[in-house]
Amino acid sequence: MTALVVAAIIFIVSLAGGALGNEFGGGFLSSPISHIQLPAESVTEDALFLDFKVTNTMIATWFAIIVLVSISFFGTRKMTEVPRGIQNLIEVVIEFFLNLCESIAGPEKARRFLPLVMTIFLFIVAANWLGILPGFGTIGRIETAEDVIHHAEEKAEEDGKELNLAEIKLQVFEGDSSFSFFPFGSVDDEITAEEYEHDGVEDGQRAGLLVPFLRSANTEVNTTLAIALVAMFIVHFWAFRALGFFGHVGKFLNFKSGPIGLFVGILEGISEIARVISFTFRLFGNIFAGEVLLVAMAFLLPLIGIIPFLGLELFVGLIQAFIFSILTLVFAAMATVSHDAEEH
Amino acid sequence: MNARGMGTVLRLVGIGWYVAICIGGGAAGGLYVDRWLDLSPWFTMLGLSMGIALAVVGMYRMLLAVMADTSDSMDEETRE
Repeated sequence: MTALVVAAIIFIVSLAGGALGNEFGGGFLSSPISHIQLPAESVTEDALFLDFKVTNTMIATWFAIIVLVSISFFGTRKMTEVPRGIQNLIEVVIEFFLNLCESIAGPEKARRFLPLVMTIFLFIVAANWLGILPGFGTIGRIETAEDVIHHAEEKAEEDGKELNLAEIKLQVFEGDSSFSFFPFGSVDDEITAEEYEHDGVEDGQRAGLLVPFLRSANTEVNTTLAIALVAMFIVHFWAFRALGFFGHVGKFLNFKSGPIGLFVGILEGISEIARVISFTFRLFGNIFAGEVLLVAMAFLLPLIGIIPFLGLELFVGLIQAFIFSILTLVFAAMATVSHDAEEH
Repeated sequence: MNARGMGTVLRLVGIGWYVAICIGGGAAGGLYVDRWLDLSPWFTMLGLSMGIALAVVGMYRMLLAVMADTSDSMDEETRE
């Protein structure tokens, strides 16, 4: 009973303190909704060299790699016959995937496919789960209002459109030195670029947009596209090795089975390209949408609104990694079987 | 909820604070070094990353301890 009462009080405080409560005079816990954009943001104002900029998703990718390498290092440092600790966990995962590969691709091909399938799974799950940690999306540098307006002007010029300053939203931060933050109850602290140019901001405040230093790696299309391209490239490489050049290309340019066979082969060729696109956008869409959902729930119901969705994101991150790896395995298994064997 | 359950809840809340302090403290420390050496944003990012790493490792160890204690107390209750 006490727990229910405490939970109800927390819920009411969260509701009143969030964006919904702000409409009725509350909003004492919330801050402006985070700025969301599709492309990854550069962590530095200027390019490092030439046009190369280090983006926040790039850093998150390196972070995931460091985590995986560290686990592998510490898990294999003092290996024992009877595994314990991290070695045990690693062996459970490897055994699960080896059995899976053997059941789908057969015992001879399983060990060849296992490294790619496991790498894809481990990288995607590590990147997705790291993206849920605090600090991702919330700590970063502030892109000044002048820079935001300048970039918007450049984009409008590129697109041949007229710039409308009233459509550019800027967040207002407390603190005008190198450390700025959103205080509690700052839900309404947003202004448009037009208002900024007319009235500016108060002393001790600065306007701009938060550019996080860390952003989940798979919230950028480039990352998911890269993984999809690597997966399909290696699948086709295995297919060429297993079936030979004419054996594999003959699946797509099939002159033996008449015009219908040729048409079906061409469709299969198109579906190979569609697979890359579907791999890319399935993973990107799920993880990016999950991040937007977390931002929205934290904005609407601070303190507790985000909790069930963090659990959902843990689950979705794992499932998406599993789907990506299992589909790669299935495509590899199908690609390395000749057409004649399929018919029999 | 009994006293033992409340104790577990408080320990878990403490783990949450530990994670937040590690990450916030790491970022703040990195920011301080950046201001001192004028190398923004590299040390802030390094501090943030180290804070996250420390938070995760500490959280893992503390959670194992909480789970071990919870499982011991459940065994005791079963025996009783």
